[in-house]
Amino acid sequence: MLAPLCFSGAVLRVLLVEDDAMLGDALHTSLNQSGADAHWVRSVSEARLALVEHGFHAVLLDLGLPDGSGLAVLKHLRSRYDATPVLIITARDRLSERVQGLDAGADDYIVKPFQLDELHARLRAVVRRSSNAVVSALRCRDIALDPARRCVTRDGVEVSLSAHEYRTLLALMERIGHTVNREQLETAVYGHSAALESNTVAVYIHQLRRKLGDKLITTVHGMGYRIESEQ
Amino acid sequence: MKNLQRQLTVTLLLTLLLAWIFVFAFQQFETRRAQTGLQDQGLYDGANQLLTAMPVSLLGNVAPAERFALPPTVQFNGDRASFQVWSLPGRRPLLQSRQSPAQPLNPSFQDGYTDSAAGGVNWRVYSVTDASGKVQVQLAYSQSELRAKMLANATRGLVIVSILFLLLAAVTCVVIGRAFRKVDRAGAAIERRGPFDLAALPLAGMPGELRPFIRSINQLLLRVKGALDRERRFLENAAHELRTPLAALSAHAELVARSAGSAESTQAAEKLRLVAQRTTRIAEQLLDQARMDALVDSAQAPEKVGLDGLVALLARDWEACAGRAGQRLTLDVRPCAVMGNLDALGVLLGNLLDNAVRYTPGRGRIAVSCGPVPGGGAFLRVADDGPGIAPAERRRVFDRFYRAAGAPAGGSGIGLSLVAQIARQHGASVTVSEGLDGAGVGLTVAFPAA
Repeated sequence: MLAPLCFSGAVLRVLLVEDDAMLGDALHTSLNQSGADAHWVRSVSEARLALVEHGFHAVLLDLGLPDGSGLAVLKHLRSRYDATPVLIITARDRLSERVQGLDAGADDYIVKPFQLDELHARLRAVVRRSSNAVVSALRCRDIALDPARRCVTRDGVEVSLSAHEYRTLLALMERIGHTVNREQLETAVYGHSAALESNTVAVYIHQLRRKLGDKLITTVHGMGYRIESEQ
Repeated sequence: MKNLQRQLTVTLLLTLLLAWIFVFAFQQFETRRAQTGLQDQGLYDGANQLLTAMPVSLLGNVAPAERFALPPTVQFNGDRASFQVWSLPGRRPLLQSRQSPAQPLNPSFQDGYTDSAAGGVNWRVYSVTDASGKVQVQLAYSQSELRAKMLANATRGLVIVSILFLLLAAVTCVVIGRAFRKVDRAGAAIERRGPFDLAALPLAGMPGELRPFIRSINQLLLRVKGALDRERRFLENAAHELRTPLAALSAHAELVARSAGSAESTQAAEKLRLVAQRTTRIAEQLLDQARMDALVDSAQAPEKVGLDGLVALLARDWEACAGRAGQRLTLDVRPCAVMGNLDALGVLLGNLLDNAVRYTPGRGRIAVSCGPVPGGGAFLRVADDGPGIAPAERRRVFDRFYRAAGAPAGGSGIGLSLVAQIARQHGASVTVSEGLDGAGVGLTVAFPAA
């Protein structure tokens, strides 16, 4: 039996966007069996409509839809500063589409075919991360991060960050003046620091320094990274 | 190499050269004949004049020894011409020019023209005997004189002809070069193209003879492009249409396993799920292979792809799978970029990862690393500490449908051949070596500088 899906103790409301009847049916059933309230739509237009009317805690988004790409739903969502977490369901051969999805603000992706428990774990991780997000904008020197809009600006100019870079920065900005170690950052980026042992965090830090300036993030050798407070 | 331009130039110049040689030789021959004729006429006239000018009394007396001398201002080369007057009955010399040799210029004393050698000089001699047959006049020109004159003539002619020939050759080369420049440029433009640049060739400025060719090539390109587009659409649809129902099958099998009462039915449902997974992977690889065979992807211009981001992205796909098998997946990525196609590189890395996860036993280690190489370029390495491949078999792992002896079921033998193929497309090399801690397999892809 899968662990129940919930949101801060309440029923988790999930929008499932999947055009394939068989797969959609299986996902719908498994989500509802786990205690979530899943609403299933099969096209871009239906998804847009559903997102206007209901407050969802998460979106499961297939990319190949009959009336367009799931990316359109994602872009529509983010253009309205809606930070609802989005988990993309993708086919492995559409790597470029997946990259586009992450760049457009998707929180994670899962490759078909997947195991249901993995899907649920990923879903839980993105929901947990979003519920932790503080609402007011975080500032340090010329950098401002608005969690509600998922938007980062430098000197008032918007900087485009991938989802992973954004989450790394968010984790550091939430703890300005404190050192954040690698495990904490991995948890922030991936939702957990499971089987994967990696230095990808160093790569995201490198990218952030490239985009936001060298002086923002300090390396604390052997410990992790830190954004110094302004004093 | 058969080259129309070179062939044309060489043929033209050779023809020209032959024509020149023929004209020159003919002209020289004619000049020589004319010169000889003139000279012979001179000899004839001179000898007759001499004969008729001489008094008959010359026969009776011994020739007077005293002669007139030339005024000192006159430059006269007596070697050029000689004459002798002989009394025929006794073959006795009566009169001769100053530098004339002692022996007769015409030893046979026959009338008419003859060539002879007397006093170490070659002569052209004309002999005439008087009507009574008593006296013969022999008048001669030195042959070497004539030859030197002819040679000087020939040299002058040759110089003029050579200069003309060189001028003409240069003009020919320039004219042909200009005529072919557009064709050459078009050829160079075609050679510079990428293997799947299917844009039409420009017709503007092309000579009329080439236009029909270019038009048919363009039509052919258009048809190839259409065929490739159709193939790509088909393959993409096929991949997508297969993967989704297999995902549905897998999900339903899991639902059945969860709600099934007995252990046997749970196991059966789990097997069903594994079958779906394996079918998906094989379908995926076959379609990847077909796509790479069609080289559809390289029709797009290569772009800069960050290998570090790609590794971080794709390692996620295998993370859960490796975690379930108890394998440890470690990443060591340093920022580096290569020029290539994102989807093709994704297929390459995906197959390396798939291979490692499939052939490394539980609790094994898989290390993925990438980074820049000193001196330009980048490397990508996937190493494990699994059973490894015997050195003798290492070359064969890139053959299509090759599967290592004793390999666990589930592989299709396509993965690594696909890796090698994509690496080739990117100008990269793949090497097989030992993996981690002297065990297992390590596959390293070395990319050229971006």
